[in-house]
Amino acid sequence: MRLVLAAAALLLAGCSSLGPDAPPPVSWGSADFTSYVAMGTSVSMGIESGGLLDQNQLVSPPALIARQAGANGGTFVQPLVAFPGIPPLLHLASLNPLTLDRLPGAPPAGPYVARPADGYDNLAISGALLANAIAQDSGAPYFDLVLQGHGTMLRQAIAQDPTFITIELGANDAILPLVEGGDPSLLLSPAAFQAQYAQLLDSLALLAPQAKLALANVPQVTRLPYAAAVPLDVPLPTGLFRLHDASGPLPDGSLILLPASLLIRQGYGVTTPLPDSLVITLAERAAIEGAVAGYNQAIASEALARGAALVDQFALFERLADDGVLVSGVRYTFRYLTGGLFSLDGIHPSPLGSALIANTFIEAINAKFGAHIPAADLGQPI
Amino acid sequence: MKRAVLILVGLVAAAGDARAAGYSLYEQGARALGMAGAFTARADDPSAMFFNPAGLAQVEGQAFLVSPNAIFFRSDFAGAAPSPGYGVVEQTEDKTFLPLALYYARDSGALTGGIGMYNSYGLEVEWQSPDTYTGRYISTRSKVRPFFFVPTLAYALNERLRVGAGANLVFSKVELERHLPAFDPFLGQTVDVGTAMLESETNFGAGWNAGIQWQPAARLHVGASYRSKVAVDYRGSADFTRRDTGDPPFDALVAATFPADQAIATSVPFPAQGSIGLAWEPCSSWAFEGDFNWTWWDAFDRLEVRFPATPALDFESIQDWKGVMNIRVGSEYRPGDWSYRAGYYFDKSPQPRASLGPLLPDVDRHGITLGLGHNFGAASLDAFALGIVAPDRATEGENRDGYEGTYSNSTFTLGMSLGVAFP
Repeated sequence: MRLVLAAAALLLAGCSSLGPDAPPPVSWGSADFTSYVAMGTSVSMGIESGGLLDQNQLVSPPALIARQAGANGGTFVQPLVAFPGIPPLLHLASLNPLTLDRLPGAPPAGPYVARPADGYDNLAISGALLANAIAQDSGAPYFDLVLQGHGTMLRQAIAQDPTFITIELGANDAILPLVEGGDPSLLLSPAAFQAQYAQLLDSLALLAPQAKLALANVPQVTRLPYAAAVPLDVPLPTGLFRLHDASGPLPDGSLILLPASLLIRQGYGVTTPLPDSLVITLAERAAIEGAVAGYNQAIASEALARGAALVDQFALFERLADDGVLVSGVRYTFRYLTGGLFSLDGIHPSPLGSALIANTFIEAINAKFGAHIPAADLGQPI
Repeated sequence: MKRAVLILVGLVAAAGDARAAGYSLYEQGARALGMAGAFTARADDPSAMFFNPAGLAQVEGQAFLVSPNAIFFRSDFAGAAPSPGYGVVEQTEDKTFLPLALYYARDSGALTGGIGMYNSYGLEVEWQSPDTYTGRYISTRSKVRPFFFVPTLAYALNERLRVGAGANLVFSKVELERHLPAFDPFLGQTVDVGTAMLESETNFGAGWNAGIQWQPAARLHVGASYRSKVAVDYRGSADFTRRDTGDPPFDALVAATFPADQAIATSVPFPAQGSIGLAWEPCSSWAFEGDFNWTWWDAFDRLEVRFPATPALDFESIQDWKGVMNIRVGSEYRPGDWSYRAGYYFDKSPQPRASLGPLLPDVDRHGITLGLGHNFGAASLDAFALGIVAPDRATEGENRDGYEGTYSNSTFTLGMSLGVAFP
């Protein structure tokens, strides 16, 4: 009988083996990635933890899209910056009390990858408003770092005879008023946004008519950890205490910006009102969220009208903010520091967050253009 | 006997997943399994206590049947994007299950009573190299092994009509193991902070079964049987073991919040099964049977583990299984003391693609069985072998835990029955 069992075990060992699977072949469908150019903001640029550093640029959404699609003959040129980054990246020194400092060392003077004659393939610029992408050709530090005096983001995109362009613009038009404490005077109206967006696409239609487009809409910026992480109530020996600004206890739904966490430890919000610049009131929040909805309506209608892929970053962020995402059984969330989807600045994604954004682009491109570009790896437990 | 078994080994062409769908085990009698388990209409030996309790009324005098089985099981996995990614391969430990069925029956005129014990459900999936296994935050090992004790009574209303019923008294234990992840903000990556081992006591659940057999004509058999769902509510303990990640400030933080060993409560259902069979004997030496079975796998909608002392640790894995049919056809040729049997079954996986994962990777199965038996008068000896064609199954981006890839299950099953009859 032992012999029989051994024979059966041997049979089993011989019959079953599954080799490693290879990614399915890439096809572009009706899209064409022979000359791919990315226009965008800090997210596309690869900013993380408050700075620009090559290891994060290499996993920026456009870099991942280019890699997965096999774009530009396998060479997607970015203005890569050496350690410790420009400026040196934030670094977590202590969790309790929360202490962030900057990586040691002097920031390099500029990128170590020289600008090709027709410009970098990744033209995204941290801080760029929609209007800046069209009209701004210089400015410290990031406009100069990317554009290097050869014209605007739009102009340099056109100069490359692009066959495919991803456009991730508009987030800064909503974030700028947010980080300034909700100043509604800084908020671009949806009508003005639509006009600028149409102007940008008109220019591309005229000067880069062969380029297919993927247009990303704007995430709900009030859900970023930078705006949503600080709780309205602090635990005091007497129980939970609702923080105050100049007009009294903050009503439910108000937001306290991340930099306030340091002040709250010093007693702000309890004994001294929180400064208005660090509080988003209900009215300010409604204005910002309304603007984002308006921008997204504009982007959706432009995408439809021009046959572009619409990349629904808004839906992605809502889903992640509500439920997080499971990756090989690990749940990642929007929680600041320990959620895993954001970098230390609470605004910019972590490498995992960046890959999820890239995959949202890839899904939209596959669906719109009948392409088969495989999803970027989200990594595996190590 | 040894020779007969070796012949059977030689006859098996393919090794596939030989379990019935999900974690159901149909290997409860070698004679039936030689015919792919198509036995509901004709069950006439003590294994009727599993296949159709009405058939127990056909036992005369006293009968004892012991049916040991050996199931060799392994699952292989190849990863896909987006996680764990292409190029990853994993496999389970080779497992040998030895489900055993024991039956004793005794008649008293038209009434026959019996008691049986069998393992009609069970599973153990243990992934190799649990410290580096890419699915370790979902499951590194899962094991369920219930023992069914089935006191049964059957009654022959007349020569052609029999009914039977029994109780299912189930003693079962469950074990679950996985690793625990945490996101280390100092490193900016997920790290392995320890393991959770959940082990229940041996807990009790109860159900019932009933069946009917009717011979509308001498050579025609019709049968139906039903076994109720048994839900076992388990009490047990969770053993949490923390491990250092090598990052002291983070380890201090983890240590401050790491859960203590504590009590747990969970539940695993053994779903209801129903079967209808039709058999025809064109002559006394030939029999053919076809059975249509249904398992109400929708009972396995979730695996919940409750931590009464720390509800924040409560854990729920959605399973959302569907009720499935399986079809079994078999035949037996009995020219003399020797019997020759063959059968085929198709068993659809009850597991939706979204739940196809490390806890229990399940696939569709086409089973081909061969069996051999010999009658020694007061004793009988039967053996079967089961080969399966089980297509590989891919999660296709739908896995609920974000763990994508293709599973390939391999199993090989042998079993025998020794029956003894005495007045």
